[in-house]
Amino acid sequence: MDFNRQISRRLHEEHVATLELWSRVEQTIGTRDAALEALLGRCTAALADEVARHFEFEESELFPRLADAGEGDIAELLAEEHQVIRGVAAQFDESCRALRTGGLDAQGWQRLRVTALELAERLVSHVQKEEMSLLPALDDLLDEATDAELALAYAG
Amino acid sequence: MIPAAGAFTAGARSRLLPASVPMRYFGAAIVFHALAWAMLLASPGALARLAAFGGLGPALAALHLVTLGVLAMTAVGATLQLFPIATRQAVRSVVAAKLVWWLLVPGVAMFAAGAAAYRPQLLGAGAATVALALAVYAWLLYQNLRRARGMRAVVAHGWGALGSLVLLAATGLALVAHYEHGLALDRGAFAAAHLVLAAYGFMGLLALGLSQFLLPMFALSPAPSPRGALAALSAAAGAILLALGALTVGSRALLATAAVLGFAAAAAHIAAMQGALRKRLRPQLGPAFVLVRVAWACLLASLALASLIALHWVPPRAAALFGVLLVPGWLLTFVLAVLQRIVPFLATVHAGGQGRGAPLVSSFTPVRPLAVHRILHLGALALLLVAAATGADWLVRAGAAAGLAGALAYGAFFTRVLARLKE
Repeated sequence: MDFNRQISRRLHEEHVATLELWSRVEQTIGTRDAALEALLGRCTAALADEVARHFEFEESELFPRLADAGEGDIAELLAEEHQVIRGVAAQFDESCRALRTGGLDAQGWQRLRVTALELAERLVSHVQKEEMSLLPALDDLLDEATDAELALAYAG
Repeated sequence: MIPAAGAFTAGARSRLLPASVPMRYFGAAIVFHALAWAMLLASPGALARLAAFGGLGPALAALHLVTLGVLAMTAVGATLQLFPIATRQAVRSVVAAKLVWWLLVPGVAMFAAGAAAYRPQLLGAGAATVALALAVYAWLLYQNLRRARGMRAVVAHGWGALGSLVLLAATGLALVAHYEHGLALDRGAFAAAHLVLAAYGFMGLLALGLSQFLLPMFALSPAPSPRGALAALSAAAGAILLALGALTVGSRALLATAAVLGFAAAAAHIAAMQGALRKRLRPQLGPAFVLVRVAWACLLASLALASLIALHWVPPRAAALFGVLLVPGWLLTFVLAVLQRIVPFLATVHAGGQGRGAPLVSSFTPVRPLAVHRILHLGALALLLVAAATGADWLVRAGAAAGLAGALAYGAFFTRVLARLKE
């Protein structure tokens, strides 16, 4: 999809990166090996850094603008999904920490797999909704100056 | 600030309709789907008669249970919800969106009953009610398209579908007037024009247009290039206009040319979609895409066969084969493939209010009934294709039985999603 605003394009790039990462998790989660453990490590880092920053920025800067423009229902749905994803991400992070310290038994591993798959599905579904609703709406809502300001704020 | 929970379904400017609006269309489509197969099962010989001679009867009823009851019903329900999202427009009137359903459902039932029972007056009343429903829908679609922003290719396909809808309603009403009041017209040419406008025009262009954003969304792939999509649309629109011109002047060569042009447009669309899907971020496309690919193959086969039929290079029986490829093969298979992805997705969006967050789409997708449906639907299609090619009524009956069982499995899928939504 082509977006006209810098901030939409930036968020879109992050969506693509998220989809690539979690699609790999979905494909490889069946076999426990060093490569998978490294991949899960990348996922926890991404959740703590890029995804957290992405969510916070949307909630503080973008959802209020969406609500002001009469799209409050979509903003609310996306914000609710952020909360649910944060909850599942916390469980995932806890399991990954146990994995790193060697304290994950077979039951814990199974729980980690289920949580990872749930997180992957939730992230993918969330990205689909943002690509369909949030990013096109931003193209309409933002003027060039506001877009530049937001892009700068997000980069900083 | 983020508005309080509960505002989710309320906003007058919302682009999301209440769940009950699209779901009532999908529910009605699922009921008419089962009725269509049941009608064919009860009168297997009617299929060959309709293809050879046209006219009223159970096969015409079954055909319109599919085209109006399933395809148009789903198209109206889906576009009322999806076009506002694609075009960034608020839904114009929820009351009008509901009114279309209240007119379309009894209209389709009366039309089918009138056709099956050879009662032109009932058929006429049904047709008038359906025309009124489609007129309200056309107004809603027009209001949406004229203010549309973004997704140029989807909007352009929407305009093509709207134009076809107006003309298909006009030709359909003329045909009904022929049966009911003896209006003098070339029934064969009008029926052929009606078929082209309905199957390749209204439904076909909507399917091609919505594919531009729905299939990439399902597959998590980039959308095909808008330029390529508009080129394919131009070829498709040219093919439809050429076919209408050919039917007006009675030229077989022109009709065959139109079919070839239509084939080129369909091939370009499919190649563009395949190109986009190859760039998808998730390797698994999901089983619905098996149906999508079968539907694409049937679309191409229908157009190839249409060119041969226009030139009289195939036996007359090929008309039945063409009908099976076009209606259950291309349109019904495609619509059922897309619907099985839209219904759980929409249900999870609506289940997510009151601060609970949207549930997982997988938890709203009962896999087993869909797998059963897929096998039975493809089996029914294969049996009908062989039946149409050989003229064996027992194969039509077997295909209709498989189709009916598949429709019931699809109904079980839909019922389970609704039950989950109400939890």
